Amino acid sequence: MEPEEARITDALHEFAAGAGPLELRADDLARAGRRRVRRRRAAITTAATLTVCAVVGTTVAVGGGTSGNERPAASAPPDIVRGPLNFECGKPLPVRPVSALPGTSLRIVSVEENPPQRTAPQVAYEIRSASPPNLGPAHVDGRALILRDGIIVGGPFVPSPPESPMRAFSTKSFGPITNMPGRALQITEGLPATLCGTTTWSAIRADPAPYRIAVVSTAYGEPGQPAPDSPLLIAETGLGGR
Amino acid sequence: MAGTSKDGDADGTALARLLAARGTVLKGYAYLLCGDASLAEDLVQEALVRALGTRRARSVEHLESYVRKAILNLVMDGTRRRTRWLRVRPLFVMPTEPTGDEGSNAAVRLTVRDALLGLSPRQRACVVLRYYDDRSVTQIAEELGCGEGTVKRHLHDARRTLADLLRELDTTVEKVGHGA
Repeated sequence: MEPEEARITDALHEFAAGAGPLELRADDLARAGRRRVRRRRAAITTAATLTVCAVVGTTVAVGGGTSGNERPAASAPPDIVRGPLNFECGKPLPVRPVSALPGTSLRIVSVEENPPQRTAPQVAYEIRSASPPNLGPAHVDGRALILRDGIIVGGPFVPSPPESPMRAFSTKSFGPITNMPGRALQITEGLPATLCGTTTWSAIRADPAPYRIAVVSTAYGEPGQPAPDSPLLIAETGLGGR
Repeated sequence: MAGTSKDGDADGTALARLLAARGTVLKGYAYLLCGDASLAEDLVQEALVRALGTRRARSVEHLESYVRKAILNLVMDGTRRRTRWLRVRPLFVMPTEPTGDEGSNAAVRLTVRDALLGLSPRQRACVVLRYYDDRSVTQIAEELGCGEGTVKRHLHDARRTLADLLRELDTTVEKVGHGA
């Protein structure tokens, strides 16, 4: 190698050393990799389902058959919550949620638009279930979160800075409690004042578009019975209920 | 399902070993190609996630080779999209303070950075693969999907540009040294 080339090699190594150490965590990456594989499989399943539907539809149309009982194959089944869920700052929801569950509905009624100065807004939501509220310890009873691009940026407990006069804890109040199945349970919850990382309410208010208020819950069980394993139900809205 | 978990564990182990042993080198490689430390970290992350999504890269060696190829492709194609992580990254990563070493070598690094960024992406890739990754002209041609003659031309042009700049830099450093 000529001296000129050796000098370039040295300079490149010196420059590359300035990049500093890699700050990625293996477990986060492995999780992200698994999510990507899951998404790809779900996409393949959906594509295969659509192909099968198209072939069946074409066959029926060409053959003139009227087999009305045939239904397309189901896509990937939803994740079932089987243990305590950890909602962590900077991570997506620990399981893929569903927007509808048989016998249970969840909807956000309102998000406080103009909360008093230096307080976080309140979110009111409604859980309607064929069973009265009866959740096991592993299950999620209406929980409000703030998401940005599907990543949790508010909801998990974050200690508030000492100088902050705002409450770090969210408060929860219930509407009339009823044991009547099918009756809606109204819950009003104060969103946490202290958010994840460098996220602040003033930043969210300045540019609310990327943020979503989400409420998650699992299904209720029969009285006296443990709550059943169920998917995670989610309802979402933008700030101000948009 | 158990198979999936086993695969996931194997992926995780290979990944942890790769990050521990070669993480900094991979970041340096990406840094040379893009010239920005944060972007380099994102490129490595994206390449690693892509590698984990394949069934081909299971050993640390294969994983590294795949990741290097993926980083190069990401840079060369210019198709890297703003990923979710990139959008929310500033929320979770605090900027790091430069070390004293970074300060003292800043002039050299800035010169090299400017010189590298002044090259075309293909020239830069050829230089990095040849002088940082120690690849032969034949290997570079295969990697970039072009002829050996093209690689030689890119290397010749890039070498001339870089050598001029480095010579100039060395002269300046020498003068400053004498002046001090």
